Amino acid sequence: MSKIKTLIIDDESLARQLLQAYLKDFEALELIGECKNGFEGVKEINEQKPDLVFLDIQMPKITGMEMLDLLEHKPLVIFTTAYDEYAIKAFELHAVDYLLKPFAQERLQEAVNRAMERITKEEAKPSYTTLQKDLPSGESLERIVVRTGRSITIIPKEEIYFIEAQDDYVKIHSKQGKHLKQWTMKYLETHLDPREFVRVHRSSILRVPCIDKLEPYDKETYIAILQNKEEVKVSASGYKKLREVLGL
Amino acid sequence: MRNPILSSKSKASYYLLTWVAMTGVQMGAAWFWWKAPWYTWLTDSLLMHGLYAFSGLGIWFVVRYNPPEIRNFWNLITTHVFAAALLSVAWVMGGQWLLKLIFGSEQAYLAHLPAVLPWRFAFGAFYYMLLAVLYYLLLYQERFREKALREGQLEAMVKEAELSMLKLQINPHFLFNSLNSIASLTIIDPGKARHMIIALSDFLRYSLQVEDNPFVPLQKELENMQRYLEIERIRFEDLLDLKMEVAAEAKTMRLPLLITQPLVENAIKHGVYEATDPARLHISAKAVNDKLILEICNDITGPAGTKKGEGIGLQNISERLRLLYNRTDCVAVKKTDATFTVILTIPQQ
Repeated sequence: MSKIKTLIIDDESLARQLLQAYLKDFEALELIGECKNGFEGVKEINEQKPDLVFLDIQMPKITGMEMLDLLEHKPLVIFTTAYDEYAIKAFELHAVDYLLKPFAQERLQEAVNRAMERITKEEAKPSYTTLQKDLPSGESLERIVVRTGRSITIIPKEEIYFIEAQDDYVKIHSKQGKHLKQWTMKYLETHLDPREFVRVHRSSILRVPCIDKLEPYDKETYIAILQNKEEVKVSASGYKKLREVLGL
Repeated sequence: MRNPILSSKSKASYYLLTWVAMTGVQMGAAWFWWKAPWYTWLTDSLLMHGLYAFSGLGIWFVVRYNPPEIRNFWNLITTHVFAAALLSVAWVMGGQWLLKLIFGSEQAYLAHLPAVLPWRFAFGAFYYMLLAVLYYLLLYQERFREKALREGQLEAMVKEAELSMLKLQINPHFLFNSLNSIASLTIIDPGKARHMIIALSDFLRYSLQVEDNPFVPLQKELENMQRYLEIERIRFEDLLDLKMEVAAEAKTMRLPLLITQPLVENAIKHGVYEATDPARLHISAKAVNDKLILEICNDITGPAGTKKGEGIGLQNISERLRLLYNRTDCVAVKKTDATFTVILTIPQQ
């Protein structure tokens, strides 16, 4: 059996060095590289296609969770984090294991064993193709990270105009242009701030502050004209929801 | 609760003085109307009023055990009418019996007694009413004072609890990541690990201290800040570009314990934690018009868009300073696209 290609992604040098020191004793693993942040991580994973990634969550620019969303190649993931109760809950579903820093080498051994089991059993590929992280109740998405080719864009929610459904993707229209993301409308509808984002149609979610005008279209439906001059259909039920949010 | 009139010297003397005045009034009336020798009505007035002054103290118990809130109004009135009648009858009968004993041979005096009897009853009831009202007033005054005192204490307690809540919450991210760095250093550089454990211990000791005096000299606060930044520097190496400018006269000025810690943590969080290139942190302190001006300025390296928890630390600081100094202008914020500055203005008492 060939060695398991392993990558470490962590913004703290000492944390990387510790993991590296621990991993020296693991014959089955081959460390192919280290990354300091999510941007480097995306590039490295897509190019090197590691089998296993040790991933920190809190990192500059984009979090480990957001990074996973941007991958073409999907390696097995073991999260390493100091303290992140919500993330722990969320990634239980998606990761091989998670290690709370500081952790012992024995605990690392367990995690690696689990990863090797998955590889030898050739279980289905990790299921985070549409990793839609659960948020603690009362909180909503503050930004969406997207990738086009090799460039990564961070879209703060304030820059979004509207989002439309497009086959298995959603298309996000924002100040930064149009981007595709492999998420569902349902997820966005429930995870964006409902006071700001309204699902006005089966296939579109509007950011309310962007609406410039609302014009009748036919008997019960409307057309919302946005500040960027784009037009979005509003269904009868969507119009009702919109009125509630606007307090009309 | 004791009789409020007896529990204070000044109240007792006013009480006595009022009765002396009442005695005087009756003597005046008697001098005018009674055709009896002066020593008889003088004794009469003194004796009757002396008796009432003494027995009237007992009305306190009637009031004390019939506070208006525990009985309905008519019960209360009935109780007092009954007590007033009882006291008046006992007073008039007892008084007359004594007076007859003393002046059994003074015919001119005895002849008047039946005529003043109704007046005596009326005055007995009138005195009762005055005293009952007085006792109720005193009872309310006492209760009000107690309540105000209790509220004052409660307020002080709430304030203290709020302050200790606002003072410090050790950031678990910082703590566990630091411990992880130490774990790493034990393999790579044990000497440095020891150094970091000591710095972390000193920092925690300072953060966890409970001091009687919530104010410390800036010098102490800066020393702690440096320990904290030293730890962050071990974690993030050259990502922290620190500059400190502290005027000599500012060092001895006082500020609330640990007021700067959340601010520096915030600066590091939005600067260094999000940085891929070195991020600047500029801390300066000076004295202006006998006030300490402290500025903490950091590069913003994170992406646009607010993150959860942002502003709560700053709000806590404002709230703490408001509670301590009773003013709202202690915290100012300046924000540009690339930098974030917090300016604290700390009055010196």
